[in-house]
Amino acid sequence: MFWRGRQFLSTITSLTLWTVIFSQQTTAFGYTQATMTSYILLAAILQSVILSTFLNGLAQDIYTGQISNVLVKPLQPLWLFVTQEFADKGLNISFVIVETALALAIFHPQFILPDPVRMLAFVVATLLGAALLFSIMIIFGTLGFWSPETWGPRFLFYTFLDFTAGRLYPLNVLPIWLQNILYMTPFPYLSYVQTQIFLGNFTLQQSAQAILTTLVWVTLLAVVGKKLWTTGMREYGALGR
Amino acid sequence: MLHTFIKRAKIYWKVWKTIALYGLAETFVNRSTNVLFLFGKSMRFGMTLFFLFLLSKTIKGIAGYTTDQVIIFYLIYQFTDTLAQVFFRGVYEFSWKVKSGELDFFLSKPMNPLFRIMTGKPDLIDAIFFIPTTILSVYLLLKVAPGFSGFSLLAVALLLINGFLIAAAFHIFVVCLGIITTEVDNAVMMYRDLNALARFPVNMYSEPLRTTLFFLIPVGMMNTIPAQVLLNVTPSHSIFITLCVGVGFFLLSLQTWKYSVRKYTSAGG
Repeated sequence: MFWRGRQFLSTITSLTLWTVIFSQQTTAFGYTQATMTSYILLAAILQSVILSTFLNGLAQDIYTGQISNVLVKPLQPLWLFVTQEFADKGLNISFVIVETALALAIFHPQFILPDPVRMLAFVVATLLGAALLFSIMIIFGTLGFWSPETWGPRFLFYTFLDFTAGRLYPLNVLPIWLQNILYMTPFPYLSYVQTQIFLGNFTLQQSAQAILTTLVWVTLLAVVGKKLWTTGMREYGALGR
Repeated sequence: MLHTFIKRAKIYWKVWKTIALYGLAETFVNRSTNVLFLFGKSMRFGMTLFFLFLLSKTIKGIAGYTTDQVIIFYLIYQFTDTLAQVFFRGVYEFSWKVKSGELDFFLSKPMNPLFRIMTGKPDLIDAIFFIPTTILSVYLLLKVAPGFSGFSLLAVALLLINGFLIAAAFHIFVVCLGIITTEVDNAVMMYRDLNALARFPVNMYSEPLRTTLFFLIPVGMMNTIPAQVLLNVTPSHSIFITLCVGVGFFLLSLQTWKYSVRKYTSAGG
């Protein structure tokens, strides 16, 4: 409940900031008030779908030996995490529906629904974005096999994500050189490209390219995550349990 | 009377100093994590400033302020937020003390338990972060608003102390909630998010949110008013009202603390 409240506050701050900015001018960074409001709201929804995760405590569970409770069950741990992740996202989506209705009532953004092809591309990109975060969280979780200091890297990741998956502003307000650097990382594929596909700012070719790049990142990080998990399990000693 | 006060203050200082030294030792044990934290905090500070500078090149202003002035609002927010974290980080770990019954040890000591709870773990990473960011803030301030009087500086100092009092009150409320419900983690982060609304001038929000942020959850009194006085613009509310809200909010938090301690059952112990 608190978590959802925090997400909603963040959305309200961004929407208010841009509403105030557009009260004095018609465009900023190539966005109109309608497109910017739509972007912020869409980013907020996507962050609840893609960036909500059940796996934040995985590293600690591994380090403290808590994970043993999962390992003794006749289940594949990684598949169990997948189902838990789905359940967590389902819970977040149910909350975000109410929050979106509230934000729509306050800010009246003008959403233009994409055509079926774009909508399909958007859904695929969103599912891949969720898979990408899952792979990243598994990698962060496996740190618990080797170190108790697992919160630092995740803090850095989330801090970076704040500015690159953009709830306060879209990525394309940044200078081109910085955008080019960021596109070499997985961060823009964790909600920014999805917003651009939905809002029609990407051509179909750009959308296909973004989906393909996300798929490459998912495959790459999933392989790394699986490898780390297997290596970690070999060294796991359930210390103190 | 004064002698007794000084003697007590010395005891409290000694306790805090000992705890701070333990905290420092802990910081050096977890070097790599703390370096990452420091890097993350610096990056967040730098990226927000970078965004505000980008805005200043493109937009005319926000809520009647120039974008340069908006940077000052952010710097004041950064100052009060970091200072509160330096001193009150112990609150973030408070729920465990209730659940485990460790709070009993604080209550049985001949020292104000609230002092031990609130200042029980000074955050030295934030203290390190606080120094360069404050120096940078002063530098930017001198560039944006070079001509402020001795009176306005005195008023700002008073308002910042008042802001610190409000921040302390927020943390006391979180502690009270922790005693009654054992829920702290999300509550304290909720406070951080509410405070983050004041990264920008609070008077940009529409009603009833604006009044709420000035009087009910007074992050506006904590951040916006000191920035307005520093920028020599007419504050949204007078200094007198701001101080009254600050002191009133703090006293209310102390009353809530007394109430919640009476509700404590030591069930965890």
